[in-house]
Amino acid sequence: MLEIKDLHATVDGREILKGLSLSVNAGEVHAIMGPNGSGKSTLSYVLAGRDGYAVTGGSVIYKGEDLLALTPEARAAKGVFLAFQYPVEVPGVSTMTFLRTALNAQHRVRCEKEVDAVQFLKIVRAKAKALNMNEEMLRRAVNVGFSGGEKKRNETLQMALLEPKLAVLDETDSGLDIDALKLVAEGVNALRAPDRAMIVITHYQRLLDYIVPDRVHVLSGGRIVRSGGPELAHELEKTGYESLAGAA
Amino acid sequence: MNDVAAKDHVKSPERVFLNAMHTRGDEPVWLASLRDAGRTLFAEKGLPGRRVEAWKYSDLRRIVADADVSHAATAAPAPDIKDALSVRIADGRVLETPKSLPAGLSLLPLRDELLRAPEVLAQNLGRIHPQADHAVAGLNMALWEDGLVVRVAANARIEAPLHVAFDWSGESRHMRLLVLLEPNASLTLIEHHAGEAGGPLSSLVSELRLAPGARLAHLRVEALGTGVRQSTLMLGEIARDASFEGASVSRGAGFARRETRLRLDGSGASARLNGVQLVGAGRHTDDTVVITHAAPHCMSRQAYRSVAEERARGVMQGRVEVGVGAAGTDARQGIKGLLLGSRAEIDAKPELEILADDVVCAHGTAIGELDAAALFYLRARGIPENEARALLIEAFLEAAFDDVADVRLKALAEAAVRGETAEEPAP
Repeated sequence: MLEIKDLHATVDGREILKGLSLSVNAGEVHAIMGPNGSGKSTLSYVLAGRDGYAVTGGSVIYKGEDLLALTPEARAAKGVFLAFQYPVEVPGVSTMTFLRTALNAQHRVRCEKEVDAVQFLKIVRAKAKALNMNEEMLRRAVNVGFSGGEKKRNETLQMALLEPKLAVLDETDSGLDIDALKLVAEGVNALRAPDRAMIVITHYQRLLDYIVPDRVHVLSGGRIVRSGGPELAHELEKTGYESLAGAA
Repeated sequence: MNDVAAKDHVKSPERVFLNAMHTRGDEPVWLASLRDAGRTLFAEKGLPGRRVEAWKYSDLRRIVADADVSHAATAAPAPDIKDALSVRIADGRVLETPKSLPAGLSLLPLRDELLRAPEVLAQNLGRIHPQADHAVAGLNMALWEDGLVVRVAANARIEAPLHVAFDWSGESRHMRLLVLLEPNASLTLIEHHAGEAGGPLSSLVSELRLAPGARLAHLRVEALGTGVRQSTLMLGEIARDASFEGASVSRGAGFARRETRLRLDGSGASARLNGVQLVGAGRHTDDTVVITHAAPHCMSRQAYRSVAEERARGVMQGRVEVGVGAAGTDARQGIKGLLLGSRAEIDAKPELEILADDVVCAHGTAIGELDAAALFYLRARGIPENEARALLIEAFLEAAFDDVADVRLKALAEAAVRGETAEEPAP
C-alpha cells in the first residue's frame, strides 16, 4: 500500500529526513518510535503534504501512485489521514460543519453520493458516542476550548468518520490520561481492517500496549535504524533509544 | 465626457456638482436657506481629500477626479425577508412603497412629506446631529432630489421589517432618509444598495432620531459594482434608554464610504455597530464611525472586520468621544483585518477622546493573514483549498456579528456574508 524509498526532506533548509525507507502493506499496523528530533513529525507532515516540508530526494508511492505529486486534499480524498499531534483550533467553524464539509468533499472527489444534514447527524452521533463525545462538543468551533484529551478524541472521531485507507497517527498518546488513551485506542482498534493500514508514531511504548503493532521501526537521525516485531518496543522501553542509535 | 471637459473635471471635480446646485423656486424658505448653506459649505470645503484627516485613507477628491472607471458588477442577493414592507428607490426617486402599512408606521417620499407635513421636516431635516463642516453633508443638502421619511408612533412596535432597496445605477444621485422613532417605538430597517455604473459621486444622508426607549435595528447590505462611487453619512441622536443596533456588509465599490455619527444623549442609551468588509480586487470601502457619549451611563460597541483581496482597500476608522459629563461610559471597539494579497491594504484607526472620569473604554486592532495551520488542517481532511479559504474567511467575518442581540438582524447579516438570501441561518 505504501512504499517509501530513500526519502530526504528539509525544513527551513535543514535536512531532517535522510534516506528513510519504509514499506507498509494493507491490513498492517506499523509503529514508528524514536527520540525527539528524529524526524517523526516531519515524516507525518511530508505524507500529508504540508507546505514548508520540502522533499529533496526519494519517493513515496501510495497504492501505485506518486503521493508527493498530490495536494493535501487530493491525498485525503484518496484515503490518507493524518491524526495531528497538535490538532489545530479553527475559530468560528463548528465541528459539525467542518466534519460534514470534509466528508462531502471527499465523497465528491470519489463520485460518491453526498450526505445530507439529517443522515450526517445520525452517522456522527453514533460515532461520537463510541468516543464519549457529546453533541455539545460537536456544536463548538473545531478544537476551540477543547482539552488535550478532547482534541485527540476529535481526531479519532474524524478518522472513524472519514474511514481512511492509510492512517498516520502522530503522537496520538501525548497529553492523554490513561482513560482517554484507552478510549482512543479502542477507536483506533475498531478501525483495523484488512484493507486499511496504519502508521502509529509514538515516543513511548505505552500506546503500543493498547494498539498492538505488526511491525515496530526505530527512527533515528532521519532514517529507520532498526525494525522488528512488537517485542522491539518492549526492548526499547528497557534499553532506551541511545543504545540503539549507537548500534546503528 | 470630451477631452476638454475631462481635463476640467480632473482639475476641479467639484464643478460638476456646483453647476447642478441651482435655486428651486418651489421649495419653502427654510429649505432654500438649508440648501444655500449646504452649497456654501461645499463650495468652501470642496471634495475631501487625503489632506483632511478623516479622509486620509479615502481620498474622495482623487477618486471622483478619476474619470477612468472600471465596470465590474457585484453579485450579492438582496435579503429575502418574509412579510417585509418594501420600498424601491432608483433614478433619484421613490418608485414603490407598500400598499398598506401597519398601525403606527408612517412612510412617505420626502417630496410628498414636504407638501403634507412641512413642519415635521422643518424641525428635523438637517437638524439632527448637524455637521456644519462636513463637505458631503453640504453637497447632499444642496442636491438631494428625494428620499424617504419614516415615522413610528409612540409605543408602536413594528414587527415587519422595512426593506428599502436602492439602485444607484445611472447618473450621480443624492438621496436622503429621515427616520423618527417616538418614545418606545421600535423598527427594523434594512437597506440594500445595488447598482452598476453610476455617475462621478452619489450620496445618501440619513438622519435618525430615537426618542426615549425607542429601538432601531438596522441592516445595510451593499452590492455595488466598481462603477459606483458612493459616500453615505448616517447621523443619529439617541435619547435616554433608546438603542441602536446596526449591522453592515460591504463588498466595496469604486468608492463606498459608510460614515456613521451617533450621539448618545440620555443615560442608558446604547449604540452597537457591527460591520463586515469583504473587499474584492481593486475595490475601495470605508467604515468610519464616530460615537459621542454626551450623557452618563451610556454604552457603545463597535466590532468591524475586513478582508481585503489583492489591490483592494478596506478602511476602518472608529472614534469614541466621551464628553465631560459622561461618567459611567462603557465603550468598546474592536477592529480586525485579514490581508489576502501582498498589495491588499487595510487601514485601521481606532481613536478615543475621553474628557470624563470613571469610564471604561477599550479598543483593539489586529491585522493579519489567513491562518496557514488552519488552512492545512482543513485541506488535510479533504476540503479543497478554495473551499477551505472561504470557510475560514466566512468564520472570521461572521465573528463581527457574534454580539448582535437582535436574532433576526444577526441571521440576516450572517446570510449576507455568505452571499445567501436565507433569513434562517443554515443548520
